[in-house]
Amino acid sequence: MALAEYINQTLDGLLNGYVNEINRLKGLTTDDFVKKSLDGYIKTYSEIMGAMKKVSQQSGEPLDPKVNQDLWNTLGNFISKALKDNDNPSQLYGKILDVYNQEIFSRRDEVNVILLSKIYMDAFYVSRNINPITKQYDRNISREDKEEAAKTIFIVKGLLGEALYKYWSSRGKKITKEEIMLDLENQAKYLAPFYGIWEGARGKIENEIGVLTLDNELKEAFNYLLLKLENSYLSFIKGLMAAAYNARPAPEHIINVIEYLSGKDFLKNVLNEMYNGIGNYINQLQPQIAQELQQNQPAGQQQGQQVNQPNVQQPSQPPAGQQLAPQQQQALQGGQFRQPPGPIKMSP
Amino acid sequence: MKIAILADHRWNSGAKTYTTSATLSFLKIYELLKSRLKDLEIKLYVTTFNGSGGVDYHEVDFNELYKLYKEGKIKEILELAIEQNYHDKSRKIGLDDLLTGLYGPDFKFISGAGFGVFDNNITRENLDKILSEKGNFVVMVHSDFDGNLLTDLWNIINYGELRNIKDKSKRKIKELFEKRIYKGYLDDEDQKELINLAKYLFFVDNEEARELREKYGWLIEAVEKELNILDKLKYGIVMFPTNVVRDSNERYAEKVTGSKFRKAIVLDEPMFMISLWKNYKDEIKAYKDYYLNLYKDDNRIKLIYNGRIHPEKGINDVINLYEDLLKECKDAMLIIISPNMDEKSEEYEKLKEIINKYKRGEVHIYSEQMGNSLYLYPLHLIGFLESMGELKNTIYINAAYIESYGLATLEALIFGKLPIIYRDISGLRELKERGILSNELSFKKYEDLYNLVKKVIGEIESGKFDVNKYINEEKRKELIESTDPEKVGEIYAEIIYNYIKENYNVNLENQKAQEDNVN
Repeated sequence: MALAEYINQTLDGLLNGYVNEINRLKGLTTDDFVKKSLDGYIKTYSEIMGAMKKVSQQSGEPLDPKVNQDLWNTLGNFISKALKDNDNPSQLYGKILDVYNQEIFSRRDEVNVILLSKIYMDAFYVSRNINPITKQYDRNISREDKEEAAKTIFIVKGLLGEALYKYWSSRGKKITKEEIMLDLENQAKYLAPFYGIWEGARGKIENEIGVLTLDNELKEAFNYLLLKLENSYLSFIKGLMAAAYNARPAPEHIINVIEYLSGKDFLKNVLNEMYNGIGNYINQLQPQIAQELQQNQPAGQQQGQQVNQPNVQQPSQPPAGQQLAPQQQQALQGGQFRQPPGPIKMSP
Repeated sequence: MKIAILADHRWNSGAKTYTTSATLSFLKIYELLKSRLKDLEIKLYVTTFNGSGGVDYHEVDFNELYKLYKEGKIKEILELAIEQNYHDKSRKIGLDDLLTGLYGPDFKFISGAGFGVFDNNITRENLDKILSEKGNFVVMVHSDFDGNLLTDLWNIINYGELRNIKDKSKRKIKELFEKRIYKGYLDDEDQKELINLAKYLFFVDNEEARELREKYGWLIEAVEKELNILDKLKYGIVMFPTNVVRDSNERYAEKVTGSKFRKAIVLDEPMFMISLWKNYKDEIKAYKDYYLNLYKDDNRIKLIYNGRIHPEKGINDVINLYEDLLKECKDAMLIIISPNMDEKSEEYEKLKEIINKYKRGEVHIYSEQMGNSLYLYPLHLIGFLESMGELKNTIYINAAYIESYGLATLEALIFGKLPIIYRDISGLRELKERGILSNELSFKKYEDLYNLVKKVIGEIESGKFDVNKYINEEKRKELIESTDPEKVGEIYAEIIYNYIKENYNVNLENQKAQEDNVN
């Protein structure tokens, strides 16, 4: 199922069930004030979920290599490096979901706090000119990225405060929401373990690959692909939250929706959908790249030998609607030329 | 004779673009000097960030690169540099190996003055030894140190989370920042003010300064390292891309270190695009045809903006200009080439709003962020610019407020032969003074930008447009020559050769003649 379709269905299901339940409650009371209050709830939740649906419809498929040349190159690079190292790309790729499922999504009570912590800390780093991956100062972080990070911090701080408060108080811990909010602005010690769980999972994935191959280039290609998937996923979830917040700046209600969705494995399924989308492309591209590798091998060298193999061209980008002249097209298909990118158009 | 080159590839910025181009120059240097200097050996070291936050050091197999160079495989060399920081042709080394490699050689070439900054492994003592009093080094300085410090402070007060920073300090930073944008550089008074402000924020014992030190200790550490480097530059040769950058750094260095550069050289930076342009004509032609097919049936005027989406780059003026043109029923097309344009940006929203409001116009975006970059494979960009030039209805606009060199503008001039309307500031003004950019197409205020664009549009629409009116072909050719990595390599080779001749007490010519006799 496509990602947007899955999200639509899930949110529709949630909203319909919720509206039916509220209507049932309205039927139990004759008090106009209570009825109006219940109508108010329906409006709030409809707006929140409506905004989330809209964002998923507008985003389309965030990880479609047909329109994303960088992703196309990333996949091509990963597959060719894996094949050159005699590894099965799908098997390596499979480690990603295995680890995320084991380390993050199996923690059903914590999963939303872990995700929010990761999104918050990444934005926190960017706002201080620190690269969230390398944790090093980065002078080139742009004004837009910092503004975006500031917006994320603003929105996620409220949600994270609610989530952490619910988490700790449901475990009988004596802590106030104010203490949590203050900590978020300073040491962020309450969220540190949750953030650590996400980062730990990432490290574990890298280790899983480390015990399967010695090839540093393959490891780097894999890590880059992992980063692409992770960024797309986090950015999509962040987009849903921001849309919900913009529609109704009420963290206490938004967190209810997120918790509900998380309980229905929504956060896990969104990642699954993205993961499967890329997995399908890996399966499609693998035979083509294997063939190219075979063709590019020097005479006498058998497939599977990995020493001194020629550098493999990335697969060219799929046609963007505009073709070259026949002889140029031939050169392109022969791997000599790279398909140029077409523009992204904006018209009335 | 041993020469070491240090290429800093940690940031995807101008410094990396420079070292990528300069690699081709170094290969030329090797070709030129290997017959003139006995046992010449060139070592190329590259620094990158690793996945866990530290800095990795690599030694590139320079002989392998040279082999590719001799086989004419320029594209392969550039792919190695741009896409993988030479990974396939290098080996990882430790800090000790790097330092040994940089302490020992007879001469060293350092591609950027920020090489030891934001690297916790390299100490001040290490830097002192690399840039020793012996002075056997060239350091390339791409931008102004004072501007970097000011931009960092400005970012901190705007996007940081300082609770105690006083309005007075904020105002001072803001004023200086605006002055720099207005003038294109900081004058002596501004520099003094910046230095005093930095001293105050970095060293005074009060609430606002303490908080800044606690939260932004890395900045103080970086500035201290930068100043130390700046101080040591006096021993060697310092190279700048423009006089504006040289002047600004010379004045700043004198104020903060009390010393002057002994040998400062202003030289055009090499452009690897020139090498590609000269060596891959057929392939470029294919891409040019592709873009011609895409755009040839659209007779609308095309405006090109190429740069980061940032107010400093003048994007807001370009958007206002586009809106004003659409308002006047000019159905123009705006083409944006950018590393960071995306659907979430305010600018994207604004353009969408404008197009829907006036029900005309069309915006085309090529953006790294959106996965269709023209720069990922630079031959695409060259083909694109060539096609735009051939259409004869395209205007290139650079409305940036600060520009130390203007590489993208030069690309539009060299490959596209496009009319370039540009703001009369810093690096661009210098290009005007050199006759490279047209006097007639420079502007200072928005109104002038608008009028100039209208004027050129009028010429195109009435069939009177002749690009030669705005391009001094002789100067363009000179520019192609002076930014060609091979030609730059020849100049670098002379600088190095002369240094060695003067300082090593070696009769090089004689040595070469003796060798020839033996052979």
